[in-house]
Amino acid sequence: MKRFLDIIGDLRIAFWLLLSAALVMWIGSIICLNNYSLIDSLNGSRIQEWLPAHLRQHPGATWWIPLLFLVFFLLGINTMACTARRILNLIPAGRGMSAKGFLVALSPSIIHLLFMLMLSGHLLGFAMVEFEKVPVRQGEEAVLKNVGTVRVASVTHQFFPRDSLLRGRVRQSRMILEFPRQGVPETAVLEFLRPVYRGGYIIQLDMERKKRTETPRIADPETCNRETHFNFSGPKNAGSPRLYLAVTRDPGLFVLFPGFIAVILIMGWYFYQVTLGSGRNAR
Amino acid sequence: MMNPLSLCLWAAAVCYAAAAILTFLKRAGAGYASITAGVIFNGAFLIQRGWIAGVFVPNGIVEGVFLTPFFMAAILLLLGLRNRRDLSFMSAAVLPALFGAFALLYPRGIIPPTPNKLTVWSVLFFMTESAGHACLYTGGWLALAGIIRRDDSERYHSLLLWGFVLFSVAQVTGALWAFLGWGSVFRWGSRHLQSAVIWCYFAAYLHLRFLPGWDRIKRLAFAAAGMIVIAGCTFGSSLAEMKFPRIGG
Repeated sequence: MKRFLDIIGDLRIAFWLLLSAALVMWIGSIICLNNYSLIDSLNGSRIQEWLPAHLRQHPGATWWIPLLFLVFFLLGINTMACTARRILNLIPAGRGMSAKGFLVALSPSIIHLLFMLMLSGHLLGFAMVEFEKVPVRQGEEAVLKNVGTVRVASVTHQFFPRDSLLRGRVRQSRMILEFPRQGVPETAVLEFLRPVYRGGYIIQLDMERKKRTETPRIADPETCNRETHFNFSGPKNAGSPRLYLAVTRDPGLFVLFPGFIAVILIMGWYFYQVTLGSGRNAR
Repeated sequence: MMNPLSLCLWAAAVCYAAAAILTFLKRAGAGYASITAGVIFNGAFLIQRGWIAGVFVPNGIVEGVFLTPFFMAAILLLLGLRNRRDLSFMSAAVLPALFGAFALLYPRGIIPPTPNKLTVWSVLFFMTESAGHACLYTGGWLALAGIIRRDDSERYHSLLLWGFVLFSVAQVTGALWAFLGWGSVFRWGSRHLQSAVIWCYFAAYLHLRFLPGWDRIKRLAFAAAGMIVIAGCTFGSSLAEMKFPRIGG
């Protein structure tokens, strides 16, 4: 068993896998720049449904995605084995250490376990995500696939002050939603960055302008910057913003958020101990 | 006549350049004083930029191109406060000088913020990301200086550790922002992937100390090469954002 863990948990493998992941993601990022719409369509789609179809249609733009999953899968196995080996060695050695020294020595293993947990959370999200985007207007009803019927009771926009250079631009929007429940509507307030949670689904506000009178910019036809969808730098008409409800369910979030917080706290404490604190010799 | 905003940026860039030149001329103490002045001018520029639209928008303060040289210079200031006798780290004054010069060429106006960008999480994200980049660049530069001078200072390693922690914090604050704004913590796109590239590269660096066959010089070279990795992953988007419509400045 120990020999097996030594081989698959070798730190040299971890090093080269991390560099391989960095290289594959760098190549992927370049491909994303040239295929924004295609790769962006993966957001909100389940990887096992999206990948087979797009791998056949656009192999040149998607080949790196399965490779990335393979690299992270191998990194996960390597990390698990390496961490198990380290903890098995640390437990007997820890008997002669102070409690704090033992915790400092154990911290990297905990960080690695949390890293594994977060990789699992991402995988869960990629495989199980549900996403829907529905255009809505004030006074209208919309049928959301997973949440049911919702009525947009009112929409109000808050703009930047008139005496500022941002005048006429939306600062915040507020939408009152009504969910019919046994004949009595249940209301919820939806704003940008303040989603509504309902039955395990996150409902968010999204928006684009309806009309555009300015000349579209030629540069960066495919970009994640959506400023011109919301606002214009040049003269514009009075077209009100087009509003959407974005409904998401991502089970990976329940794993990711606790993992994020725990890993940052432990990592900060560990690096403080080994660089500035009293646990410098505990590594 | 130059407006106060441009004046502060020019003054900061000149101070940073002077610090680099003075250090090169073996006058690190004077260089340190110049860096201190640069931090003050750069800070004044950033604060003014928050009000550039006639209404306070913190996004103007935290744009990486202008914030990174500030953090680079602030790191040198802090290193000097910790050890006033040894100013060998001042060779890294080249970094704020170079980044300050680039900032001079950059549009001063702000990209009009969409409602999804007006949150404390985006501010925290850009601040921690820029601070992380600054630590990682400075650590990388000191590693390069360690190869050239053949000194055995471990200062570069501490900076890389703290750079990694700050950059990791940026990934968490960015994830929280992405969740509140778009319902997911990760998006398939060049920005998120390039952040992950930097994270993986420096995670690999952290493992180097435990690998046989990686002597000090090789580790220094790997740390120094990290500067190219960060620049390769961030410089392109900075150049692309120069074309975006801006307001003020």
